[in-house]
Amino acid sequence: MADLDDFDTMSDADLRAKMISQGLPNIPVTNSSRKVLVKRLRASLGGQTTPAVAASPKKSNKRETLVPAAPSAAAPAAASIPVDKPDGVKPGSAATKGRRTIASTMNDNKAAERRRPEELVAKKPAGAAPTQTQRRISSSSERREVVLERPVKKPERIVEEVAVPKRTNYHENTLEVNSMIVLESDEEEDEQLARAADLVELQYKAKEQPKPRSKLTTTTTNTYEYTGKSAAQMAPQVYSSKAMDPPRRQAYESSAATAFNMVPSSAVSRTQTSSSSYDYLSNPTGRYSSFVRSPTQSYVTAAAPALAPVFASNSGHRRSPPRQPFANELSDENEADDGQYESTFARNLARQRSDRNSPYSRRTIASTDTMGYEFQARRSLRPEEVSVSVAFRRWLTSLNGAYNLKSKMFILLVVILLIGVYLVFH
Amino acid sequence: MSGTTQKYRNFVAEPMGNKSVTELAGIGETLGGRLTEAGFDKAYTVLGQYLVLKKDEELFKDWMKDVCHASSKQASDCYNCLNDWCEEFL
Repeated sequence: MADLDDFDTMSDADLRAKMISQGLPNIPVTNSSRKVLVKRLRASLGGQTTPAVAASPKKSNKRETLVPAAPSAAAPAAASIPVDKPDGVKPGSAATKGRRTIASTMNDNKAAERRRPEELVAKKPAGAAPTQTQRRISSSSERREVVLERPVKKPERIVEEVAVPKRTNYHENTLEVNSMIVLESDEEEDEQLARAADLVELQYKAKEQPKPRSKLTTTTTNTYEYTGKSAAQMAPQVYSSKAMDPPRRQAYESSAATAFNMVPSSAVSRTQTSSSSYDYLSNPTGRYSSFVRSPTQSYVTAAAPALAPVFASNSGHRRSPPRQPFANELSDENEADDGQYESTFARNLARQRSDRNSPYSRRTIASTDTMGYEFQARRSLRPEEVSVSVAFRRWLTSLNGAYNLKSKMFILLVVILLIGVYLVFH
Repeated sequence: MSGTTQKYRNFVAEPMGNKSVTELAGIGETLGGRLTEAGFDKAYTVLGQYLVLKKDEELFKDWMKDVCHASSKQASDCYNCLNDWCEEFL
């Protein structure tokens, strides 16, 4: 109490010297700052006065509540700084300091516990040194768990890394087989696979059918005859688009390629029962469809040259775009091309037509086709191209079929010859 | 961390001159009246006290609380205002 009285009665210079001796900053003591500096000095000296509690009881109570879980050991640690302040200002600041430190230690402990997993989680991707984590983790189980998680994640990454090249290889393989497997949905692929299976069944059924039927399936409207080239040479480039298959057929070919490979070549050649394109493999003359496309347009890839003939023969009814015959013939752009083909192959075409009984015979064949609309495309091909000679021959063939006119004509011819011989000799 | 107030920005934006003490951030009419009663009617007088206390935050806040019974927030706002003004113009 004597010290306190001394502080109040002490001069400014003495008070300043006292503050310096206590290690406080050298602050000039003025009338306005004297009170504050005295409080600071008292706080530094550790003297506690009752008037401070009376001066600001609310603040002291508030600050006590601010440190609810202050450990008992923390208070003695801050024993040098009184908890309650004498007048509510100076000790309060000191008390707040001490409490701040106490609270900060508590908060730091809690925050450190909270931060530790975060830091570890943050350090995991950064690849922190395992020794550091083990040192920190030695007392906590959470860190051990974190350490255990690290090796678990690594294999997953490794698996992912391994899986990626597998996928790429898979795609590469598929692309090698056929590059047309692109942007097709799974449903469409399933449908196409189902259709491929149906076509395989049709191929086996076609085996049982007589071979001349394949001749009946040949088309006369757009087939051309190339005598100079062999069928095998033309095979990779041959592509018949006459069949009226849906556009999806183009895609399942690759998936069903293996299935078609299993089919014998003879069966493959008979698969034309479902299509109208002529089989150049079974045809010794090397006829093939008029739709000859460039290698770039052909669906037969260079990666599968061995499969080219099979694909070419199959592509006649599977890969052909359905509406192309209509589009090609109805469009003005293709008329010139058609004219070129007509000019070069008009005679052969007429001859081929003459060889056939009637163009509508293909209807019956097309009716056997699952697609069912094939003959419509043929009808629309060149209905006005029927020449007089062809019509006359058709008429004759029809008469021959109806009345057996050939035999009658032969008899009539013989009779006429006999009459002629008789007249000559008489 | 709360943002700065318009009062704070206005005070720090220009020299204080003969501005009233109530133009300091955190000092309203009530605290301004108390400061005026204590002889600190101008902002520069408070600034002088701030400088006398050698820009010590705790001492200045304790002084504010002792003189005008300012709250911790009010004292802190006033201190920040003067501190930033000094950094700007002093």
